[in-house]
Amino acid sequence: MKPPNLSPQQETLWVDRARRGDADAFESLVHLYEKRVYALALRLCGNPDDAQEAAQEAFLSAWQGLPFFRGESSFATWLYRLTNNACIDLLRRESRHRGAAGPSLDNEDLNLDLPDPGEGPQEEAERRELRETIEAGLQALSPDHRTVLVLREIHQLSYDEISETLDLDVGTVKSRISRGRRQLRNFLAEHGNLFAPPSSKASEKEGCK
Amino acid sequence: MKYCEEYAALLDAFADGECTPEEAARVREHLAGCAGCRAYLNEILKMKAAFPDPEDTEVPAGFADGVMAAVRADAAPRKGRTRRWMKVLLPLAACLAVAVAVRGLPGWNASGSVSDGTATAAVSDEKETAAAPAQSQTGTASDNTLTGSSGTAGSSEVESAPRLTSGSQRAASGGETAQAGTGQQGSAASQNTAPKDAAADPPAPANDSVSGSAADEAAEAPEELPAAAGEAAGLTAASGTGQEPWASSVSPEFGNQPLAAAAEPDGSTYEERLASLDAQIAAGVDENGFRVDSHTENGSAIAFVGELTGTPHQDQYGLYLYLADGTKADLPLPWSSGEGVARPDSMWFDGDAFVYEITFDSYSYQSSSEYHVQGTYHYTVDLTAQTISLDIR
Repeated sequence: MKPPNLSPQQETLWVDRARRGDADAFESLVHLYEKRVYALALRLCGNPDDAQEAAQEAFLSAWQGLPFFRGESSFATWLYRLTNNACIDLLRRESRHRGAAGPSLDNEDLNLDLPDPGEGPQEEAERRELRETIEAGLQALSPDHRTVLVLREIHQLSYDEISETLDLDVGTVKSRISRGRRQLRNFLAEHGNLFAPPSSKASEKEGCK
Repeated sequence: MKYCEEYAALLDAFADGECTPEEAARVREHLAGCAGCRAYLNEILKMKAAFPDPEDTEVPAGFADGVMAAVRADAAPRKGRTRRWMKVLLPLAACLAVAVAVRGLPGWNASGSVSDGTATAAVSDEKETAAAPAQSQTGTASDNTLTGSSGTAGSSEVESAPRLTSGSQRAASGGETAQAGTGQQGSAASQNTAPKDAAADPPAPANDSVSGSAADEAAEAPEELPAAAGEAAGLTAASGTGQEPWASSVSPEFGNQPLAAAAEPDGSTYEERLASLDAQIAAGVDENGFRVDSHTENGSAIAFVGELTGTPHQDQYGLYLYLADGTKADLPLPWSSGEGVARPDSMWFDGDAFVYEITFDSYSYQSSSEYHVQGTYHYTVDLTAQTISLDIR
């Protein structure tokens, strides 16, 4: 869950300074966490516009709430919690305005263009397809299941950290991860070729070409 | 080939490295003899590997700049910003004790002095400003004083309105109140994953609302949460009629509380008060960012909604009631979210009562604090007895 290439001391220092009102220190934290916060918001909100708004809201809440952050949880966990809250608030506001539409599930919106990992076009295409299927699968989950899985698999939080972030007990986290994963697995089995056994799907695909 | 149901959850924990050594041993032993579970574990691991790295996320261009522009505009986070807030929050502190008495009924708060645009919360020193809300908010419930450089407004107003009971007096009158207060502060604090030490730990002015909420409720709250618009619609429809006969079931924790004083009579007449409110509505936002939104009256009492604009996140609402003699009371509103209280959806006079309602189409919580439940908050002010009751339908 720690962002790479940064000593915990450096982060602590920034948090301390930001807490005392140092906007530059806070800016460092924003740069450090923007990807993670936005990545979380994007999965929870389901579209880039809402994600941006919620992520921004989360950082603002962090800035305003920092004086009351005493480091009992990690800064990251706290920030993810604010992000989750911001997303929930935003989705609730929007669902009120839009009626029962709910969050957009349009996977195109996710816009998860990945940098070229330096592989051949074939591998890259496969990898991209797999990612897209995972993202679509995540969007097909209930928000509860999606949130724990994203925190677990993308943000790499431990069960304890997830329970802290979402204020759930660890048993609930455990069961949501398990149920969410099974749903995701079923989705992938239907929509992707992640689990394609040598027989059916792969040959079907070849047959199409 | 299918995995074994009784091992499914354990396999997930196993794949995540979250098993105890005993569980891990059990899983390994089972895997050795179960092809179905081996296959499932493989799928889990494949899925895990397929998740993207957040560092690959492309953040919209200028995102950090946007955040920092907002941060710097908000400037001096809890200083300059707090200034305006103080005018709401300090008087609010006087009523915090009430909110506190009503565990599970978020939203007892009030903003007294700001309404007439002559708030006297003298906030001069920024450093003190930053510190003051902490002391006064927590202090009020137990020691009956508003402290800090800006505490005078609230306390003088409270004292000057003998006919109405001040929040502080109420707090002092019930041991339960003070105790609940501690709990409430605690829950507000934990929202920011901040300390348990209530006295040292004020709710954040902007993000933390106070609302008592049992931990066990909060723990299950997220289950309800996906703000399912469909579910919500049903309840709203059922409870939104507004004019139902009053007083079906007064919540025992919140029945017939004395009104909270905002200001004593200033010698104006009913007509003058009305004219003044109309003038304020016409004038729009005043120099304090306050505007009068609307009013309703019954020939002797006047209720009006005020709105403090320009605060972060959202505008802040207050609901005030001029009694026949000109005494101004500050009426409670439920929290809508971490950023403030809800605006009344409707209000009307009904005989000797003033009634107002706020409907929430979904439950709202943050961390361990509940902002509001799903349903209609139906408040009734008894104009004769000068008490207020809440019924949530």
